[in-house]
Amino acid sequence: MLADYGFLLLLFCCITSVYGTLAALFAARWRHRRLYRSARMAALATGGLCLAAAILLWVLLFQRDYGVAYIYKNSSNDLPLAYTFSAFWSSLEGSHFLWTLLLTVYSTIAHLSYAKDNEHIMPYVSASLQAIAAWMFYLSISYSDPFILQFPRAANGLGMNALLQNPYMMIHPPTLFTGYTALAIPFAYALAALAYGDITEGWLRTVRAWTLFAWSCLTFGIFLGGRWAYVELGWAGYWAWDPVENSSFMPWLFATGLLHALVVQDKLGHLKKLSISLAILAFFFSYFGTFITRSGVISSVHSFAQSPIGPNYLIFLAALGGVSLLLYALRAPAILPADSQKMWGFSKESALVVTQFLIITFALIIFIGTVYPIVSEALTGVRFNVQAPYFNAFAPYLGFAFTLAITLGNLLRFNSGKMVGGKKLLLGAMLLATGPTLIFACKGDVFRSSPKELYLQLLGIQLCFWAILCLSYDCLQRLRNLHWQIRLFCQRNLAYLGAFVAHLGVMVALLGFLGNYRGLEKTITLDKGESTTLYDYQFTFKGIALEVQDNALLYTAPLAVTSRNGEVLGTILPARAKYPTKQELFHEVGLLGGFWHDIYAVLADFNSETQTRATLQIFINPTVRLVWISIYLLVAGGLLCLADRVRGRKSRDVLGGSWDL
Amino acid sequence: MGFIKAVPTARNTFLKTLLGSLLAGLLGLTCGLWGTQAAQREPQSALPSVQQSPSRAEIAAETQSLSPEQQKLFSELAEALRCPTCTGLSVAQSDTPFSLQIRQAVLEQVKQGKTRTQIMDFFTERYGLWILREPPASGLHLFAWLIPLLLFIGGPFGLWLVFWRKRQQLPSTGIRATAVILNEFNQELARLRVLKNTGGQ
Repeated sequence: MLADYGFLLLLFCCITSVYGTLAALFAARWRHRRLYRSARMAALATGGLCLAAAILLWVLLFQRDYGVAYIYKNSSNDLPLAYTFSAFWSSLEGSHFLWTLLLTVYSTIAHLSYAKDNEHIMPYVSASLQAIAAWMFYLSISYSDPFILQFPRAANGLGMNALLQNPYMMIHPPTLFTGYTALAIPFAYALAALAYGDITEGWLRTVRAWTLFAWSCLTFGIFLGGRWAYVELGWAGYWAWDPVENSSFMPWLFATGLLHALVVQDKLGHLKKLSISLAILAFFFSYFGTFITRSGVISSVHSFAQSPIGPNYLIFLAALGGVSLLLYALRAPAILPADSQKMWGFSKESALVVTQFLIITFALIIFIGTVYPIVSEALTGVRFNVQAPYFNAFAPYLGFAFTLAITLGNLLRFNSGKMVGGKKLLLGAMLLATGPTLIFACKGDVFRSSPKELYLQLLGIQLCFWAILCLSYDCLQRLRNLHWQIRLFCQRNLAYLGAFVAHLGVMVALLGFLGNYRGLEKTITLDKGESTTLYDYQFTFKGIALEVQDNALLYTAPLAVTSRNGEVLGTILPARAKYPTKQELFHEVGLLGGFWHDIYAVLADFNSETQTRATLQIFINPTVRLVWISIYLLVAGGLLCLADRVRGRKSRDVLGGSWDL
Repeated sequence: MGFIKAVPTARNTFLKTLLGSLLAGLLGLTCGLWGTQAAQREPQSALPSVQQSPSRAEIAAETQSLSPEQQKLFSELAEALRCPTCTGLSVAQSDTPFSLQIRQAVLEQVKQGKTRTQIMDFFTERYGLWILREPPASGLHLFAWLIPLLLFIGGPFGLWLVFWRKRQQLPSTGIRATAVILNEFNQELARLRVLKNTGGQ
């Protein structure tokens, strides 16, 4: 019964969204205020109804009602409570519903909290948001219905995929989807700016806030996914350039570009059309990713089961792209920069333009690599693969270019050719950076790499420290200009501090990524009591032990780790897990994380009769912890920027408007 | 193109964007539609004859007995060939029986002293170019490598064209200046005259 109510609520949501879209479009055409208020009410109603439907699904999950097909497929009687909660989004229909729910919630918030002076463009914003919601609800009631009943009602469900029974499953999809769906609001505002004819007062502030929120969540979600893969999958890496990973990275890149274009727009009133394009592209690519995942067009570790929903997403993408391009082609020429005679010299805005170019290039390369299988099959009949080697061929150069752009961009000023500190700073910081580089290289044992890579590694580390020193000098200089009043500095410069912390996070992440090229690996078969050495550590195999944990049987292989001088560091437990509902054995990684490197052990094979012999794969992964630290720096930077209530408040081009009716 | 001139008017921007987007959209739709149908037709590679797969440990033990250059060649090759039954992993990273068999075959060929090209050709002959992890730099696939390269080179040039090129400045002083100023004044006068004549109606 509850499932029927759930479906009805979704149906109502679809109806209200369609009404809201039409009402908003007519309100925009006729500049009719009360019709817009009606459309707004429809959006709020959609929000409430969708939330109610979601609560119903959760109630059904906790009641373990196996009469609903989705709950039968994704949970079982022995599923822990926390995973029963996350079963909401553990497969296709629920995941689509989570996306729709988040989209509706953020759309409702956008309808409630917009700048009062932007009310006259809200009809366009509302129409865009509700049109997207209408399509998502249509898919929810047709192809992707989570409330389908099944008869007869089973006594127990099929259970959740063991890989998803993990605390990360609680955070990774919601944060990631928040990032994707929150990008809908900058998209709606971009379309509104195009339809209305120019950027209005308050546009910048709202778009900046939503983009920062979406960017922070997306950063967190993407990195969490990497961390999850690292501790769960057992190939000792955190980023595989998998098609779905790439398609989460592309919106992130465009959102970053949007943030930087908004900076120029705030200060100088330029790059408006670029902001609009980037907002549209960021949202478009967030849907591109879900199209890839759900249609099976490109195979990926994230792929859901094959479902007929795929072509629908393609239609939506085509419609989205078509409408945006048409609107852009027709209306973009009307949006002019503040000063059409501006001379772009050697200044911060030029550096930001170069940054945009690098970001767009990176996104394009990732796009080419991701769709190449389809394109090559269409053109030559053979489906090619584009895996990590292709992307890794370009990524280092881009990393290098980004480091330069970040350093020089932060040292330059707007509308001026002067650089803070000048050439003296650049050279001095380069010399000064050799100190930390050598310390880092010694403590991190960089010198064990092979000669060619050693040179590149040292260069990379040197550049990262050079960038950190230059950024710190700039920060100290600003503090000095304010006569070291730290509280005042923090009050007035939250946006700058946020940017500083975020750029610092990028440098730390790059330092962490450099460690990927220095890893060590060893595969060995050990008998009980035998030991092996890798990189100053001695690993002693203690025999296979059996352990029962929640709903899984674990075959663990305790490895006692001692350092070179005999000091006992601990025991790591690589294991294989057997779940009752699945045939294969899953990996549980034995991890001993340290600052300079992680010890990572995988139980590749073992003799299940005697339980005294095992094949172990041991990895030493340098500087992975730096990557995890950089997550927090990046997200903190984004949130600090968001907390700044002053930035973006004074738009350079004020354009007012009013209602006619 | 004759009807799309170089002058950036609104009409030209519209036409250029429309043309570009139509082409891009057509390509995208074609590939997408092809892809959604082709998803069913994932190619099945020629499976080798069923044989006892070696274990990871055995292969690891055998590689220890190679010379350092041979070990390097082995690991390079193992990382250049994809695991046929996994998504996104190389033969070196995967433990499936198929990957282990491929690694064993690579190991034997490295021991026999074959070169990298010979071993890669051996595998591409049997499994097709599909066994590679990145597009080869030949034929149509060169574009996958050329486009990023062109972006890196052409991008800064494009930026220079749009942003950093010195535009023709109207002289505000000198002999020519007078003519320019006179021209402007005459045009303004003509416009005001027209306004005055039509203002009454």
